[in-house]
Amino acid sequence: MKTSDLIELSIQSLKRGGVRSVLSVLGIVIGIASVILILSITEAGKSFIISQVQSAGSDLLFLENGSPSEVQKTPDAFTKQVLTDQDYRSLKKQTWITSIAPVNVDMDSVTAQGQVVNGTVVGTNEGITKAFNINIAQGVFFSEDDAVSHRRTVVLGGSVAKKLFGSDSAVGHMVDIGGQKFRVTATMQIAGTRFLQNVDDFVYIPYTTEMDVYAKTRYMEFIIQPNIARNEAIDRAKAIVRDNHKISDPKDDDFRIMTQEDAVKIVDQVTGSLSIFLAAVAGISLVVGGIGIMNIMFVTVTERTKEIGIRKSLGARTGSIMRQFLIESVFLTTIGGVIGTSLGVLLTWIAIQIILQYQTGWVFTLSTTGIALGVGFSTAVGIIFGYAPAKRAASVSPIEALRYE
Amino acid sequence: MRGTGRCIETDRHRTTTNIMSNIIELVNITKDYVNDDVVTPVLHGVNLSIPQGQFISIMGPSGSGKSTVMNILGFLDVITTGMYRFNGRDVSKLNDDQLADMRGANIGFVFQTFNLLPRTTVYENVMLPLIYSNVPPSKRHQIVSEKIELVGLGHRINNFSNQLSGGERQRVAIARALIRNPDVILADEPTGNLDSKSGEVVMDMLLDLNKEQGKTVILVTHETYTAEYGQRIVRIKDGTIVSDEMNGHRRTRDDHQPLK
Ligand SMILES: Nc1ncnc2c1ncn2[C@@H]1O[C@H](COP(=O)(O)OP(=O)(O)O)[C@@H](O)[C@H]1O
Ligand SMILES: [Mg+2]
Repeated sequence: MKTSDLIELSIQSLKRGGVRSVLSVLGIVIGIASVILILSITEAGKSFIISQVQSAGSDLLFLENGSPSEVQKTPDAFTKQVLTDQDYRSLKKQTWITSIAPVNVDMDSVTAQGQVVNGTVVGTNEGITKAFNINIAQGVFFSEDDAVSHRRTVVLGGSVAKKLFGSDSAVGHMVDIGGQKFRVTATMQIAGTRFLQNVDDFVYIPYTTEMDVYAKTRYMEFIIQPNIARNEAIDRAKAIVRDNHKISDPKDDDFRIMTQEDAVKIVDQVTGSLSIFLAAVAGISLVVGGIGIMNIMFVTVTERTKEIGIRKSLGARTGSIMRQFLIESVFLTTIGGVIGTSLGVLLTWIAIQIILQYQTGWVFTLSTTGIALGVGFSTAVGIIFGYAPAKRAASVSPIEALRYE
Repeated sequence: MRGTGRCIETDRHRTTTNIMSNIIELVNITKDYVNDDVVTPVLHGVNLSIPQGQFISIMGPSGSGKSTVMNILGFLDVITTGMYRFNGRDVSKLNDDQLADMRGANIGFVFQTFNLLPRTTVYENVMLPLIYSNVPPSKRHQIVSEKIELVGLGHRINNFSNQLSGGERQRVAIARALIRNPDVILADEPTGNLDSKSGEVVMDMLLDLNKEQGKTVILVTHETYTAEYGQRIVRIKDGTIVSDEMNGHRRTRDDHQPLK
């Protein structure tokens, strides 16, 4: 039997099967579409996060609360807050540090001229502009002196300024944050997202004022820009903080220093295990789809017993029948694979468009592994789950098959 | 010179060993069906020799074993004891693939129930045996169209088989049976499901195949009228041949009113 004949036969029986053929591959279609969707979205997410990390200033150190071993284990809310004003001041003094920005964050409403926006209030200093790699549109960032004097000054993120003041200049005007009056010293340019957050919705106030208004005594983190080699900077910073915290054994560290590289590594790990898990779930749906194919093929073989008898009476060998049904099942699952892949690509594109409504910076990415896996798997499923039905079809005795009604 | 010599030799062979002129030889065959350890003996020692080119009718009441004989002759079923020789070859020595190849190359089946593939065109049905042959795809179209024309269904070539009348279906089956140019046509009650007019068309075709193309035709029927198309009539009862005689008044095309 020629390959062209086998393909021809598969097309014929597919046509005869009609709607049922299409329905029978639904499991495969859904399985493969989800594999591709899941792997593509995680890949797009990974690229997005990495681009976020890299869009900030380079070679930054993030001094955070919590021991190094707690990374990814303890939710931030449960981490003991240990970073103090003393840590800030002793690091600030260092000549090898270009800038150090303390960071504390609160969600609060910001009001001006009868307009209200929900903003993210960041207690910090001018160092944040270097850390986030963002620029002033108008005015001057509040000074360290403002912080020392606990002044009520504020710098507005691009969208906050626009929403409150429209195209008017905000500088010099008063805004109301959490019931307190603040004077605007500057507005920032529109900058998009940094570390997954839209910095245009941020309002920056002096770190001391933030502690006054929100009753805090500790910092969430310090973003440090050193002017020496990274590892040396990490060692020195650790030594200073340990000294402040009276820690002699590094094992007892209650703080940690992360780099952008660490962040990328974590993203890699998280998305890696996430996509393996999700792909495994999708893989199960492929197996279920395969069982569906096997089921439909068994039904088909039974229904087509007469056809098998006719073919055998016309000279078909056992092997020809076997191949016919095997190819048919592979053909079905491969079509399922092609439809599933197209659907997966389409769903990925739609998902990215939806995500883009909420967060800019995502790029439509297709997982080549996902597509290869999907298509390869669908063929394998056709062979594996088509084998038993094909075997049964081929072994039917010609005389019994002919008598079958 | 050489041609003449070979001809003489063949003739001598024929006269000395009768086996060679018989395309089919059943020697004392029996057939038992076994279902769940229940043995049903169906054929009890059947002897039947059919010379190449003969038109033979097998008659007998329902359940007498006619179809069983046909299935054995067509390599669809195997004998229990005895010997079946086809063209001098012992069929019991053939494996499954060889039997399949024999079916394809040497036998054309025409069944009472037509056995066409439904929702498949006339063309595809007639083509079917070729995909199990060595005929390359490029040559198939011509052969298939030729046979469909031969049975007068050129205008139906792209119709589905289930859109045809019974008579047309049987003609498709005949075209399909002829597609690989086999020596033997096995027709098991080919007119059983047809009205008398269509039945006659089918029988005339079988007659022509025998007379003009020299095909060996083995026909099963329970109608005497139809059986009389054969040169020889064999009667079976309860799995044994009860009579086997030449037909003195063989029916010819002129015996009946021409169609339309
Ligand atoms: N697979 C089978 N198992 C058991 N008995 C069978 C089987 N096939 C046919 N028979 C029996 O063999 C006998 C002959 O059948 P068959 O050759 O079909 O008769 P006919 O064609 O002359 O009507 C019948 O009694 C039938 O019931
Ligand atoms: Mg019968």
